[in-house]
Amino acid sequence: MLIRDGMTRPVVTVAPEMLLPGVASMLRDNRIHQLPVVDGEGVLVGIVTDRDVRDARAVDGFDNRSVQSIMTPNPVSVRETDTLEDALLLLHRRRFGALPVVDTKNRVVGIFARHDCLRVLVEVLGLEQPGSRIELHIDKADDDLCKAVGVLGKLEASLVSAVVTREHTGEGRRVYLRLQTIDPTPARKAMQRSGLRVIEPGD
Amino acid sequence: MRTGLVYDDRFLDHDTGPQHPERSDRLRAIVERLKRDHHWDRCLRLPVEPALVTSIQAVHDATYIEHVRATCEQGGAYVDVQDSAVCPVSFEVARLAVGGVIGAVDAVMAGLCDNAFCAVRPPGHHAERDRSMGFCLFNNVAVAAQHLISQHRLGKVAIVDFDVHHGNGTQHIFEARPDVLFISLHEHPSYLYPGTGFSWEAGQDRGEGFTINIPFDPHAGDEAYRHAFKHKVIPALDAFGPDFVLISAGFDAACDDPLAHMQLSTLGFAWMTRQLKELAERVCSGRLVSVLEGGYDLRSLAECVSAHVAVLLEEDGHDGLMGMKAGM
Ligand SMILES: [Zn+2]
Repeated sequence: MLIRDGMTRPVVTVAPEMLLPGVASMLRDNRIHQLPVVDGEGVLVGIVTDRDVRDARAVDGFDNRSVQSIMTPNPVSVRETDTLEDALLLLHRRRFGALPVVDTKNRVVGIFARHDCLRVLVEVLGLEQPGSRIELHIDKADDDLCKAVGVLGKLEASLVSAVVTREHTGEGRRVYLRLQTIDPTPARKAMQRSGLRVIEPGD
Repeated sequence: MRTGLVYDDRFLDHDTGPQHPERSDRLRAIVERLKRDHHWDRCLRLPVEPALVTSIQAVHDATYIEHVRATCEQGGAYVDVQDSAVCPVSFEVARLAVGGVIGAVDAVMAGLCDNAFCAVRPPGHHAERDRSMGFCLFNNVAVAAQHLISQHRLGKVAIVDFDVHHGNGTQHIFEARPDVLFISLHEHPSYLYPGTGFSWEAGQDRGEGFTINIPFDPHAGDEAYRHAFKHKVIPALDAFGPDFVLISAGFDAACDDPLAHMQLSTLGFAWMTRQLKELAERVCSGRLVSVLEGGYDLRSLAECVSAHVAVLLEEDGHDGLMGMKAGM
């Protein structure tokens, strides 16, 4: 998945010359926490957060300073064709609140904020699609995954999502499958027959 | 009590295939058991007429109804999702199921019977305004609730859904409205289809507070349901003061059900039924119609339905009064 599939657009931006009271009300009215600052061509020149504005007000009250005097110039940005992994890791490791998303000419085309991660996660897990969950514990990741997929293929079960993670305690992997059916029993039984360990709900 | 019974052999004609969990044998098992337990003859058999498309349109989009009709007529194998298997006459049977439930609420409103049970299929509570889900074509209970409000001019209708799956369709149809209280008790959405019905889904806009979701962890049983009824379901119903009580009666929270992981006993279903019946007697002259939803272990389905109908048939008077004293 690419960032353009998960980002928020259109994005609200401000010009470098905008005065702080105007910036404050833009943040408030749009209920956002960051604003990319762009020049006349829409090229990214900085980013300003509600915190920057609050701090400026605390020091001087609201004066006639413009946003470019308090913005972070040349902020870290991502391209719309970068992968979601880029954005997720940047937000996670560098603790940014949001990343401006730019095109090849460095023009702002969107923003990828922390809450966009939640939407991506909900989508990836298929949580808003009707379905039933099957959970497996697998030891030999490759062989067992092949088996599980083979079972689904034979049943013509419609897969909503599949997630494989490390077991938090002990060896092996945990597999979460979401099937588009009210009746996961045939799939569950077929997996057990082919030697897979199906985790019962509540265990 | 005079208890109405909605059943029609034509409900068996909705052919979903011999392996399908929601198959005609479910109703055969129910009828056989009701006869064996001598409840069958004590009930008043109500006539079953197909619902008019305009009645169904009160809660479903016209294009969806036409889509179901066309899919069945053209010999399609299912509507929207593989779960919802159909045969060429399924559209007509689904209209009969809706019509049967409308007939039951009409009979109660006319005083022909005090309450009623509808042994209908296909079930309804997963059916959304515009699409089929989980074996359900038309939302039988939702059409009946809307019928009570628009045709019988009732102000408030309560729907209690104790099917083990969340009644997503019913919730979504009414969640922005304050005149229908929807209470669903079900296995937690993380463990069971369809994945909705979290406790924080509590209605929208003017309907805020008129949707109540009570999810249970897997393996919950009579104690958990009893607790929820005492502390949430019955107090909410008393506060709402409905003019009519509808039950989405699924019996798939039973111990042996192959589709879920709950441990409700036959006595547990009977106890819940009695609570709802007494509530209806308290607030709306006993007006209550129960509509079959799920339940996929044939033996326990038949046994639980029989116990459910037996409670509906019970005379009020001392049963009801004792229950009230014990409960209050
Ligand atoms: Zn169910």
